[in-house]
Amino acid sequence: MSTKRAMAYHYSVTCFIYFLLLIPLLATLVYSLCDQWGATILPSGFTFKWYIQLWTDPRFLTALYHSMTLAVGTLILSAVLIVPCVFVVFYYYPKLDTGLNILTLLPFAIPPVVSSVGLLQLYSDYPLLLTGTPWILVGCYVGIALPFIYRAVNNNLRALNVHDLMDAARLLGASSTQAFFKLILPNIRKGLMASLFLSFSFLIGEFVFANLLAGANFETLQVYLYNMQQNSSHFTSALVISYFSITLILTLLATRFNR
Amino acid sequence: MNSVAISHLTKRFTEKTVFSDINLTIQDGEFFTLLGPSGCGKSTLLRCLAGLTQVDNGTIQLGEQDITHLAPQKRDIGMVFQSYALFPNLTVRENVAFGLRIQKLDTKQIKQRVDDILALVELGEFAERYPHSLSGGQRQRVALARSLVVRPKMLLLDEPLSALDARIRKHLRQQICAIQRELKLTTVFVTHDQEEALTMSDRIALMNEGKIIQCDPPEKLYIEPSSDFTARFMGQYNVLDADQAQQLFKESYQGSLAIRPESIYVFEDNRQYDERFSEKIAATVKSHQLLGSIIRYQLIANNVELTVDLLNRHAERLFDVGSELSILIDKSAMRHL
Repeated sequence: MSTKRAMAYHYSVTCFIYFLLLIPLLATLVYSLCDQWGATILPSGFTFKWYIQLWTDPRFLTALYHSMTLAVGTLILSAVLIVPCVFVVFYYYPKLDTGLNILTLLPFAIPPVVSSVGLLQLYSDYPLLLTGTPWILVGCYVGIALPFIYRAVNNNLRALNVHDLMDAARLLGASSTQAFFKLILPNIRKGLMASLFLSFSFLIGEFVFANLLAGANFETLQVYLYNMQQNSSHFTSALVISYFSITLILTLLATRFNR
Repeated sequence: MNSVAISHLTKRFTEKTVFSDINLTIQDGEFFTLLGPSGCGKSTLLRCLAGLTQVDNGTIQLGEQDITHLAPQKRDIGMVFQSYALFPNLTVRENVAFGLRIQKLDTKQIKQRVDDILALVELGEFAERYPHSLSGGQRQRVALARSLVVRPKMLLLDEPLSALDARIRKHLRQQICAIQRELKLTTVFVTHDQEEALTMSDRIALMNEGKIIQCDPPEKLYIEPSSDFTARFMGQYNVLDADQAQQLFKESYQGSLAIRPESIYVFEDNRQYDERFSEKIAATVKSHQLLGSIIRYQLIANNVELTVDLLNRHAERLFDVGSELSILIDKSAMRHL
């Protein structure tokens, strides 16, 4: 009996916390779906007009396209650059690992507002005139993705008996490159994918760099959201819900694909 | 002919010499064991044979070929690791087929050879399983199959049984020996377990601190230790220095003396002892230990501590701690070191 009561208690606590976390999202959802919710307790006038208005705005669609291509492009570049690098450090130069470890802390240790000042100074003059272009964001975002990917790949490599696996593969005639692609990469895939999703949701919600380094020249979702503040709150609510749904759907799809 | 000739082989790590001037010849088809305590350099020597560790000096010849500086991929040497080193993302079949795929053999041929080798290690029914669902003994058999399927010139075994429990270890030991004899494969086995070495090998090189102390067939290594270290390592030999020997036998000795625990007898009234045996010596039982078929006693005789193994035959021959008894030592089985 007491187990049953305990279970009910656990259950209700969990539900309560879920509910608490969902309130802002639910409120935003309801707000985005009603015509008016001002002077009354309950909203009035169910409508899709905010969504129609949003999804027919070419500026929104461009911003969405910008954010997507930026995030996906950055992640592909990061994976191609960082994974082999972490592997080489882990397998051939373990002494460099300390340095890499410190390097991965930098994006967190230095606030974006601070580092963007430095980036602006460095890249807004000839010959590295990158400010206002998406390329500066790609470069900057690779730095942001670095700690996530480094952590995940490094932990996966640690859990794997890399040295013996590589030795065994080499004695069976495989080159180090073959061994890396056929054995190491498939075994760290799960961790790598998880870190890429994490970076994806982080990058798609990134605002400070996007606003300061590219701004109006290359409007991303977050910058668009910021610029639409003056608009009706019903409209921005529809934007938030759309943004959230897109991220959710992509993550679910990717998780399913990765299984 | 896949014999191995190692000459003047030397390996140093930054400040420490692992081994220097190692000379060995391993016959074609021989089961050769490198035995020694941990840190004696035996595993490093094996890795040098595999090409996984570079040597600083000396040469390794396999058959007619000098392989000292050849990449491990090109040596035609199979190796089994203590950690199994199976590829976790591949099934048993894919693991075994890995080397053949690299050689780009056609699918039909690969399937045939993988099936054959899996039958040899009695794992045919596990072909589609993943390594994580196998027991330790099964995993090590997969690893063995994987290194044998490419038909190497030589097989290296790096403590392959150390991670397994006792019963499986004994079974796999016999299986490895049987397969090795069937394929007549030159094999180098590394272990720190003298029982394993004695039961499996054609010849054993006993190593300590980077040197080969003695290299002989198992029987000879056990019966005729050439040094203090061999005597202590190979059995529970009683190694006495000159003073202790003199104290025990009341006659003067030079150099140290090795006495096997099974060559010390407890005096029985109704038995005849010929001149091989020493005079009776009074001894006291200090402790005893039951090892199944034998009982191992620690005795004190003339203030010298001795280990004595007696067959666990009659209940009346169990001596309690503190018992007084007389012992005789088979002098023909004693070794002067």
